[in-house]
Amino acid sequence: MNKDIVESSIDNDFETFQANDALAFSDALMQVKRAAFADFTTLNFPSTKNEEWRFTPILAISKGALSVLPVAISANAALKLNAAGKEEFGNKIIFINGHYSASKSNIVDEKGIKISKVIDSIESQEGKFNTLSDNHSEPFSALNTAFFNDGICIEILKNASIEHPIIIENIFTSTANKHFIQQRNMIIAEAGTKASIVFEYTVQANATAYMNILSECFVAENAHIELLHDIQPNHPLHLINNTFAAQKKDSTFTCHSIATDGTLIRNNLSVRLEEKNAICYLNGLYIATDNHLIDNHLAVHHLVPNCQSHQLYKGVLKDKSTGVFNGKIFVHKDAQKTNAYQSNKNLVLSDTAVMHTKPQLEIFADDVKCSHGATVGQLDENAKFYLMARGISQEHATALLTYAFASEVTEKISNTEIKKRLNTQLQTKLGYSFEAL
Amino acid sequence: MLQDNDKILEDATNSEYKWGFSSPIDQEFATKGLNEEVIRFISGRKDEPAWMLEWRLSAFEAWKKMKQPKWQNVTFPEIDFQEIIYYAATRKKPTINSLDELDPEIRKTYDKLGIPIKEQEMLAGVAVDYVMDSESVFTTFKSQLAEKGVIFCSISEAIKDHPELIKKYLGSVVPVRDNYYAALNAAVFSDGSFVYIPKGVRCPMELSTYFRINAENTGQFERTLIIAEEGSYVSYLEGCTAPKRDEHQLHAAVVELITLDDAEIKYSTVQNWYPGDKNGKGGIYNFVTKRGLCHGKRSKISWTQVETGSAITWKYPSCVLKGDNSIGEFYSVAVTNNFQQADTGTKMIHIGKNTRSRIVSKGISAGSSQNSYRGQVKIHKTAENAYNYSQCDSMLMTDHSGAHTFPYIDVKNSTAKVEHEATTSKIGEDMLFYCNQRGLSDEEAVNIIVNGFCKEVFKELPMEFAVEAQKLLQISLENSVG
Repeated sequence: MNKDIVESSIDNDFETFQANDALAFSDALMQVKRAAFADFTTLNFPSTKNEEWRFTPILAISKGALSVLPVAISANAALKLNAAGKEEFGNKIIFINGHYSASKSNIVDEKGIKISKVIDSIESQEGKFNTLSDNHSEPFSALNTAFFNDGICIEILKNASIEHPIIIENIFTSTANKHFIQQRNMIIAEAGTKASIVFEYTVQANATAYMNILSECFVAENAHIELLHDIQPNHPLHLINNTFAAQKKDSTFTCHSIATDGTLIRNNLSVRLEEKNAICYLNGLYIATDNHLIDNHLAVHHLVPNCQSHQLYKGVLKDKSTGVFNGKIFVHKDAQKTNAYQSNKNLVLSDTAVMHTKPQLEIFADDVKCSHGATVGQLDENAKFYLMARGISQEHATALLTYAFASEVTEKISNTEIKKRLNTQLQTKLGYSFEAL
Repeated sequence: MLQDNDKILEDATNSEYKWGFSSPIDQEFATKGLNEEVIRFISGRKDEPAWMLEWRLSAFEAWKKMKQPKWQNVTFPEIDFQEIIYYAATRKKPTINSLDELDPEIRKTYDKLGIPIKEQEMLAGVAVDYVMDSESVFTTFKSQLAEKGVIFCSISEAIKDHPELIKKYLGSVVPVRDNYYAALNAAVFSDGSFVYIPKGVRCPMELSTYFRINAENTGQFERTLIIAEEGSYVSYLEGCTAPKRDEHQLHAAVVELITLDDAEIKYSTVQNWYPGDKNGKGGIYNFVTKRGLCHGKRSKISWTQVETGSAITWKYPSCVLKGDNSIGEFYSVAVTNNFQQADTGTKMIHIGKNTRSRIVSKGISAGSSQNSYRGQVKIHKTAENAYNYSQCDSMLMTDHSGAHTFPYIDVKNSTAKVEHEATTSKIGEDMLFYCNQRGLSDEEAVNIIVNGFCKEVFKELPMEFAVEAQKLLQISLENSVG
């Protein structure tokens, strides 16, 4: 019954969306959007009967009577943002309630980076746009393709090595409360480039944000790209974070997904290793508290021989939180000499917290080395005792050991400034500080 | 080297299924198809009491409302349940006391299978219950077991002679509505084994059942129920073969185990149903529901399986660890060759405090086969200090076979410790080289390596079975080198 209401409201939304001349999509793009909308109508919002969404109810989104239409841009004009951007350094790209704000954005490394709105670059990137997104089976990819109207296209020009991280920050105000914001990004790293890209989320007081973000990331030959999803919004955030990456010869793609806050976080990360000697490192850390749910779904496709993938995901679950991990490794038929590793380790620190983990290997080639490991457990009692015997309170010993457990992931971040900031935030989050010892 | 391997593999795929004969035994069939009449016929044919018929009919009602599950990682054309004969039994009802009175054709079948009943009788080894198609043919050693109070008989006899036990336990572990095939089995099951071990008794011998599908177009739906009372112990073995047929045959059994306080059941299977020919034609669909309930404190259930046969193996022997301090174990070797498919694994459901479980699964894929491990470890909120260790290793023999792992781990208690690890690899060339260097042929080398790979599981099998399993593995992978 409710489903009908939601469906019809989305139907209406799409009609309104189509009729909106101000958006001025090209005919070609409108065609893509119509097809994606048709896909979404078939797929609909996934229920927990869908294997991929078994432990992740999204009722707040599907039954929340949210509008998928963009937030009126005029509402942003009046906004006074006193603290736009967490970092004082780096290249900043600011989105407010889903709209790119050119005036608040700032690009320091002008050489080597080309920034444009995604709508404007679709034509020039025709062979790339919407080629990685899986609209036929992923409902949120389809929804995003159908309804996105803003987002950024970042091109790292050939052989450029970008010194400062490129920070894409999404800021939500209470104006966006009943909106399910659809944002579409493209990251195109040309041959021989090196760059770090950070996604950040800030939700202001009194705001509850809903976002479906989709980023397609093309890593060309010998490019080395590091992506960081830094999800610590401090106020309620429902985020469906879709990242698709495709890698060419000798490239490296590193993705860190750090989520320590947010009501519902779903990371869909899919990497295609398309040419030989490509390597990907996928790291994740999730610290869930209260009744939050953090879900990481990964898929690595080994399509050709001699590639490597490494996954390390660690989770800490407290209070009534839920953690979900599903890591898939597909080794396709011709992908001989593949090395694929996956490790998922979890600390369940309360009796009311729940962890669901499902590491999954699907292997169709014989000359491979694949392994996965998954653990769910607690802190080592001996280690805790050791600390307590030296006069450290139980509370601090727990915090210290949890921090040691979690920082294995943050330590892998290459940019020292960002690493430092994340580690500090982590310490605060876990209630651990040197001073208190 | 690689070329050699290909040739050797080709030879392996040509190896014959050695149990593919069928016996011309005078049999009686139910009419083809499934309806209330057929269920009444089966029940009537077995002189069952009215409550049993009602139980079957209610299962049939439930089954009609259910849909065939589709989530598994195996593919097969939809089964037409009206094309199956649900009951086939030897016409002469065997009321025999010694083996000599058995139908000579059945004896021949026996001998061809190499079940050494006579031999075992002499060696005082194993008590055998032999189920051909649907009917239990013969149970040896009944009197000797009766001395200890152990009941080992066909389930139809048990329905007549021990209705109170059947009423209490049948369907208590695998409820009628548990799943599609369990409901089907509950409606049409024809026979199977029943074991009851009284309080404090350690069963003096290993109990064994041999399942054989003989007739064409028949499905086999047997039902096994094992009850171990307080402080008792039993080791139970199960073996299966079938003749070569071009069409697929369905085997949908239900096995229920119950252990009370301090009891232990060890259940071993060597499954060698006809796997189909090298083009994937024919073979048995082995869709079985096996589940054990550790009801009592400190009880233990251990599953060991060696799966080499069947066109499709699709089963998850599970343990429900309800009693505090109970233990569940699962050891499995699944070998697939040619076009065989296997989706097998286990479920460990931890409910009681201090429950422990251990999973060791070894998958070997050759030919164009697909081999999946699917397992679930579930720690309920009540399961304080639960511990699970799982290990699943896969070995790939060819580049067109597949190995898959789908472990589900669900933890709802903060004191639980769950460890899972899995690896996939091919037979190491360095290992082969090492063996070759010491004068072993490729074939011998593979044998040694594969046996080493599976050793952890084989050592759990009773000795005679371990030998058989090793031989079976050798035949299944004859001449194959990774």
